[in-house]
Amino acid sequence: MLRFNKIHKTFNKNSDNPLHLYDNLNVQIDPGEFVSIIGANGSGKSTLFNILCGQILADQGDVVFDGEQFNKKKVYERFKKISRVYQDPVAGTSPSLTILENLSLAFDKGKLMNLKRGVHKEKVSDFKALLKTLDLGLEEKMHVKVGQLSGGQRQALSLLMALMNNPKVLLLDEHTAALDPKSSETIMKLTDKMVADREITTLMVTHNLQHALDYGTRLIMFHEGRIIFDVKGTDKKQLTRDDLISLFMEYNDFFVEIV
Amino acid sequence: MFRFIINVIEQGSLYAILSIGVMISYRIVGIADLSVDGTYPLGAVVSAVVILAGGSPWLALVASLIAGALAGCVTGLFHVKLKISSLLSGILVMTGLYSINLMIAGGRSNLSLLNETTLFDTTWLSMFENTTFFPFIETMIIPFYRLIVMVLMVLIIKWLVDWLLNTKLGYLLKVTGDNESLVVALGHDVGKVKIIALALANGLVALSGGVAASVGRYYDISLGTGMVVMGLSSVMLGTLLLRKTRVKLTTMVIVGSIVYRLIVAVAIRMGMDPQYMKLITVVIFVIAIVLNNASFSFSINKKGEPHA
Repeated sequence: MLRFNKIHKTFNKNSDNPLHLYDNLNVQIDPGEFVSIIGANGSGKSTLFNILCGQILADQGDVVFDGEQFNKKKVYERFKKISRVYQDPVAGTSPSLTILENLSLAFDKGKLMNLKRGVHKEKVSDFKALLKTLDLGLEEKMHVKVGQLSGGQRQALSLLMALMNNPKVLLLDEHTAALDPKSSETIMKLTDKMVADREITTLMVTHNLQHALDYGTRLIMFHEGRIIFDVKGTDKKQLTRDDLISLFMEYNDFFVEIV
Repeated sequence: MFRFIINVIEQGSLYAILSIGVMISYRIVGIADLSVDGTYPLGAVVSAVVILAGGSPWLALVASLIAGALAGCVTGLFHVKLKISSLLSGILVMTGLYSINLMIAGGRSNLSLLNETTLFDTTWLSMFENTTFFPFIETMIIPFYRLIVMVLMVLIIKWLVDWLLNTKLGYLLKVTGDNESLVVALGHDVGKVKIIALALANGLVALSGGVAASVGRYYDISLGTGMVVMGLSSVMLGTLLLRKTRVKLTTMVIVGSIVYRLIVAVAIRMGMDPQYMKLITVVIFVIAIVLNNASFSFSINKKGEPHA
């Protein structure tokens, strides 16, 4: 279980123009939930991820994960339990290494500070089977450098690498936003399948309302650092696109991000 | 002519060790580390002092390696823990080492090893004096002993570095240069990886300095001036010349060092005043970097098309 407890966060604190984002934010995520998070830019979706990963520190409040205090942990220590896929397909892979090398690294996540052989030759067939599930033909390109792949292929690989070690929590940070519509759909379907198969607790920030509706077991909407909408189960299933748009209209004067 | 080639290979091997060190920090991890100008003479002075104190020249090399690695750790700690830029951290360590090198040499700015036993001592070979293959040793090994030792040393170091780069730690070094945030995402402290890389790189540079003390049979405080640029030139030159081949990076760097020495040796032979040597280094460096960049952007344009 993941809990954000009484989180307070103000940006530009010492300037004339401080930005109060969270004022006593509380969120609890149960194991196995797949939560879609929506909201306008600056509403506090990504900051939530950054606070969880330790890239931004909260002014007050705790992040508790499986009963463990996360506040004092270093970023790289948190990443031993968390995997994150970013919007930029370049972020999750090492371009000058081959697919096989990248997968081998992900396979040994958190256990790389030693002098054992880096590439898992004995795992090639396992890796191939995994790549085959992506259905992008990557299984034939094991020795191709990742820098030569397309954005969609790289993002699919990032997703596979993020899930390689069955993380406790998977964070998807607009991970289909930089892709063309077709790749975006492919990656989204893959994500859903992989997450469901492994029952991994997942948080997904997205600007794509259709994705937020179609996927996930729970939907949260942020507005100016507050949660203004939170549904799960059958309520979420019955939710329509129009419901979401009218919610957006209610809170935002300008709503231009309808996809 | 024969002697000329042997000299070039010997000199090239000496600087190949340094260049492999520079390759680790600059090419693999992506840090332009200027502490090299200080750790090279550090290696030389440590070896010289150990040899002058009667220690084995091989033991002296180990001492040089350790001293260089420690200095590299300091550069790394400045950069990682004190958040000083890597360029400035290198300059600070280089400057500080000037005094430390003077201190190690007991306040003197040069030491002579003319009457000492160096790495290239052949007296131990006389134990084969009464064997049947001694004539072979006398004619084929002793005259080329220095060359043999140097080449073997470079090959062993190359083999070790190649091995290291294929370990999990080696991959962490490569990922650091490639996509730093991925190291963190893989659950590792990228700062620690950088410190290890700088220690390793400067250890090799100091080792090269230690060998230089044996080759030149002297130590001088100004030995290190321009060594970063020389190492970088060799790395650039090697990767430029062999970029179309599939040889390992270490091989490229060794070839680069030898070609670099060849260029310098030919220039001096054609009557160039040795005082222009550093200038030649800069010219080679700039030419290599310009050609490297040109071919690089060209190849990207070619490869980029299918995904556009």
